[in-house]
Amino acid sequence: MKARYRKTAAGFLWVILNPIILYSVQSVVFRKILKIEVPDYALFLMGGLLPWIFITNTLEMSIPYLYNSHNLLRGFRVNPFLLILCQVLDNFFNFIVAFLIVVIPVSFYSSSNQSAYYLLPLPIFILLISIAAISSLASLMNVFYRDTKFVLTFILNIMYFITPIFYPIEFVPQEYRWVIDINPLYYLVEAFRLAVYGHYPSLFWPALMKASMVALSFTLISAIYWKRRKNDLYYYI
Amino acid sequence: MQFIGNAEKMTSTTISESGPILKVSHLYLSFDLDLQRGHTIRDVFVNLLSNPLQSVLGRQEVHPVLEDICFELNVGEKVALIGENGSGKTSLCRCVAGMIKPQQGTITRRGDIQAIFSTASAIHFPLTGRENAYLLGELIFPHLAKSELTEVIEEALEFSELGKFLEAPFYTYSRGMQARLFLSVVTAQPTELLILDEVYDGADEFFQVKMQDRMNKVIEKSGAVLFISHNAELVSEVCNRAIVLNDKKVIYDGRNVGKGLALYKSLHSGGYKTGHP
Repeated sequence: MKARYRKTAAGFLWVILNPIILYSVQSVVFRKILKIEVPDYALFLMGGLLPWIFITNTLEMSIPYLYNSHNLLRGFRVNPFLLILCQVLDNFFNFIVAFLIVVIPVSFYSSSNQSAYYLLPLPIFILLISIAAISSLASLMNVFYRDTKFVLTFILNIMYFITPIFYPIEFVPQEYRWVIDINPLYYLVEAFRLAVYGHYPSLFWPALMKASMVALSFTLISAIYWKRRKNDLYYYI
Repeated sequence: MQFIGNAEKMTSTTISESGPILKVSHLYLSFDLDLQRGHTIRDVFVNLLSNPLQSVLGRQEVHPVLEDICFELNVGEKVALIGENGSGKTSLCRCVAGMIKPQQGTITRRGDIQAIFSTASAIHFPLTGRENAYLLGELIFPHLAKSELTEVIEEALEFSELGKFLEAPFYTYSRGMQARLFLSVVTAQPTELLILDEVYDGADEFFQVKMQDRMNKVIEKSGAVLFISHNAELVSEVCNRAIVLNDKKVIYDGRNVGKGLALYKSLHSGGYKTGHP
């Protein structure tokens, strides 16, 4: 829906500038200043950071959306889920464009295996489903518990550091690996990354399976929660 | 035919094409009264720590809103739903529109439905009236193709007679202009059931007269209207049937709108207390 803002090229550039700048800064900082030793770091970071930005931006936008649309929802017979879906698809579009802008120069300079790019639609699709599920779940929760957005932003900030996005999972000592293992967002990001960076079929397919499981669980939880609480929506907004 | 209604005592009813547009039977609706108990995760957290037993076992208080509501709606009927504030008129309409589910009872309806409960909202205030109209169109007529939608919305915009104001941002609109715009869009397509909940506030007389014609056109083929208004004059002019709600129940349902209005007025003078017609 926000697509209406994109009347001008400059307006459009503004929207996708955020992920690109964030990516460039982190790429320079971690490579040149912190000197993280990962081959092809620019590509590695892109594979992790872009989906992460997609997740956080979408959540940030869609969580307060249902509550903020209370006038609209009370006034007309509008499917509330549709409103969330618009937010998700809007961000999805930004993500794809930002990805295309970053991937071309980065893979041009990288020496790593790029044969798996054709597999990208699979993890992207799973990512999209998961985010739609998480966003709708959190957005409905925010109607009943108005501080959901603060709590979730806080959690996401922590998650950024305990999810192997700017560092590889190999850096994590074995005794702390369980933290990563129970992190559902990691599986979503990892499936995407394995398709763009260092593709090994032996790793990619299991990762994709795990990501699908995550997507499925979130979808189920979200669907059950919506079924149970959707009726209360109109009393709370 | 579409089936909405809830599960607990669900009986499937089929309505033939020539039958009523809407059938509401034995509808019960109640609200939770403890809406205030936990409105934030912080509250839940604090309650859980300070009062674990009560927050887990705490019983929900319910407030009944509608009890045993039964009525049918047939083609061509323009029903005035009358009652005091808080008598459940809007809740009943929301149930009919499928926005909320009743605790008990069935609602069976045939065909398409359009509802408008408030004109004081926008899809997005900074956008122009025209853009808001298109966005609303996309949301309430999702089945239309892009070209059809353009046609429908352009016709609605013309009907609203807002002219050059259509290009002004929506937040500059007066209440009446908002009402004109959204009413025009909602009634832009023929529909089987039209729900209008106090939507005329602010719209001038000229537009109200124009809307009456349009309303008739919208339901001409095979439709009915549920109309909520406190404007007795308008109601008796527009409607050909009245349903009066009081104390959770239907106390009058009949073709004599004047009688319904009189009964409603007598509620205030204290002449009506038992809850039986």
